Amino acid sequence: MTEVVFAENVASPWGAWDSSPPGVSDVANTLRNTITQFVRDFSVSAVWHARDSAPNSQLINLYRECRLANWDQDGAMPVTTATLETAMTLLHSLPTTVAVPDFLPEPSGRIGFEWFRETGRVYVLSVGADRQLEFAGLFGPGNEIHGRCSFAGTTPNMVLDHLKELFRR
Amino acid sequence: MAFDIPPGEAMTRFVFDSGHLRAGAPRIKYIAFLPPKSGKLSVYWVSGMPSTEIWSICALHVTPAKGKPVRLRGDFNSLMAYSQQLRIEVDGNPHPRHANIVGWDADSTKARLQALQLADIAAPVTPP
Repeated sequence: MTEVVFAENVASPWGAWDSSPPGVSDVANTLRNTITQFVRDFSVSAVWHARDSAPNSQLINLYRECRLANWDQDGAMPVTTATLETAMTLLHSLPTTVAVPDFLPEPSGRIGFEWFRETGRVYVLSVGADRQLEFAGLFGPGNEIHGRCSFAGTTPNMVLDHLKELFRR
Repeated sequence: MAFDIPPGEAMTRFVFDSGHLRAGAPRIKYIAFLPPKSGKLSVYWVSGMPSTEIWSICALHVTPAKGKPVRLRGDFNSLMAYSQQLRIEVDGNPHPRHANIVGWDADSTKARLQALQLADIAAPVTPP
């Protein structure tokens, strides 16, 4: 009999796991406990902090600093909660193999995700409440792009290709 | 009276926000060159000026308005702006050497690329 176990009632970064139906053998219980412990440990681990907790905090701080109009004393639009939510969704949709970007408030009220590799190789993805991603990138001499694409909750393949190009050896 | 700076002139932009600088190596991020809502990006025409005089302009005319200390300045050639299909207009306010980079298309994603190009080429200079 194949034993499939799920951690139950675990406060994980992804929410509680669905339990369908739990195994009953000793092996199943041991496995369930192991997974539960793993999830608990991961949620306070350095990896989770670097990939999830710290970037989320940065985005929230950015929102707090820029939620009022004219935050740059030069007429900037406010960063809205809708933009913050979209930025968090985008962050969590990025593959874990992609470095965490720098987050920058833009005068338009959008939030820019910036990846810098070296001079002449930099990529920016900008997100707003309109669920449109705007991108611009320098990939070496004579190789530059800019444009926009829609964002439906998963990182568009076009953006993934841009990031591959940026970090290509 | 406003007039355009020709290509080939030395220009600088003062940066006051630490978030506009890259940690570690002093590099300027694109956000420092992204135009404000007015579409006028404030810069100074510094051809022929010694560095001390440039910082003096900052201390007298820019820092008081910003209300915080300058982090660094980004020097670039006006040719770079023109190669991005932008223009530089001297307006002489609050200083005779004050100018604005204009000609941005606010509705286009190109403005972000233009800002990236300018930030990439700007040479950071730290204050004395």
